[in-house]
Amino acid sequence: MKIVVNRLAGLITTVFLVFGNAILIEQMMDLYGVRGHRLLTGIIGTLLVILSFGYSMRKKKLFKTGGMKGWLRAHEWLAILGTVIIFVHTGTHFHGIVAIITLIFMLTAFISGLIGRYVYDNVRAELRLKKANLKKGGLSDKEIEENLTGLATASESLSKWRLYHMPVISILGVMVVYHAIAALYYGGFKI
Amino acid sequence: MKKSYSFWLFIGCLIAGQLVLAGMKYPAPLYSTGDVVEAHGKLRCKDCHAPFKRVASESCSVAKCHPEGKIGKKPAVIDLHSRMKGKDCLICHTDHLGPKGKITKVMDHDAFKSSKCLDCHSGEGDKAHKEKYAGDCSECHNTKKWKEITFNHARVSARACLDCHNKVPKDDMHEMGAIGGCGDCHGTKAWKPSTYNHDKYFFLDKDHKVTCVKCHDARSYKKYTCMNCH
Repeated sequence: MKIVVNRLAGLITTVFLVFGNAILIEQMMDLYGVRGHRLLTGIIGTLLVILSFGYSMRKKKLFKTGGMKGWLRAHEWLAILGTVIIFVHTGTHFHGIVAIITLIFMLTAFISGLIGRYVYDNVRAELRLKKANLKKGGLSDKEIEENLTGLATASESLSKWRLYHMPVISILGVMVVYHAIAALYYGGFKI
Repeated sequence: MKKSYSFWLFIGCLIAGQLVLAGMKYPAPLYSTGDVVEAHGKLRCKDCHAPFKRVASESCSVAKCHPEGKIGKKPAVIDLHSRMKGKDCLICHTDHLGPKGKITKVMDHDAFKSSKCLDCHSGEGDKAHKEKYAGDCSECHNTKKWKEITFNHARVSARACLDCHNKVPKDDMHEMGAIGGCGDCHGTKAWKPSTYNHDKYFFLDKDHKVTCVKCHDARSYKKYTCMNCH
């Protein structure tokens, strides 16, 4: 129970930190009269989130550069950073149904991602018990670490979580493209 | 039941498709980044927005909206806009900030780097400027605020103050003429406050709290007498 409360608190804190930071940055930009950042932050934030999907591609073995653990960390941090920048892009202005729906999916995907992170941690904790057995098998520390990351991502709990995360990400992808086309249609390409 | 990414992408496309259809009928609630200013309330999105081109100035300057030569109410504003012909309206103006939104932004001078200050700032009121200070405007003015002036008096030290400060208050102190000139009371950093120090010439103790004309000749402060009392 204590672990669940701690993790829930961690999750809420992260969401608030991301939101708080984004709003603070956006307000500072307004204060210093920085203009034209909406399009730029939208593009940068989206690119960072897209880049974070390098992890999924690595997982599906579309390429073999870098270790799984490193890619997972990159996935987490790029997604968090991208989300902060996208919230700066959104700011405190909520207009346009398409933009709002996209934001809702973005927020859901972000929270779902954080939940996934905690599910992953739980799975890893369970797998740590298996570590000793792997060590007996004569594998090096690095190989064990890679093995654990691979096993953790393939676990049943994470598969269940993915059932919810995948639809959100997929629909978010479509909405982002739609939102971007609509914004460029009415706003043009000028920053 | 496990669904693939393609299935959920298809669902996403279905949602987007329905929104596209709704947007064709009601674009404003779907795509607008905020309510337009009251005067633009009856316009349709396409009246101002051209596809993938933001808002073209030509959309603003159509006859029924802001025809060239008739933009603004004050003569100076009309004059300014007529000299801005061909410039992008969005350099200074915006919208979608609400019905009462401030749609004139702080002037972005960087957008007019190729222009000279006097291309725009050359109204009737600037004649005095031209005659006296035909030099570089930036010696006194900056591009952030026109009224934030840093005047360098050293440039005009040879001039008499009254060449420029010709709106002298009509009171005894000014009309009769100062003892040693404007500099006795005024500095060159700020015209106000003035700091005339009477004690420098005569200490006004409690027995001398009288009106100016009790001691001074009504025509000049340079002349005075003690004989009205003593």
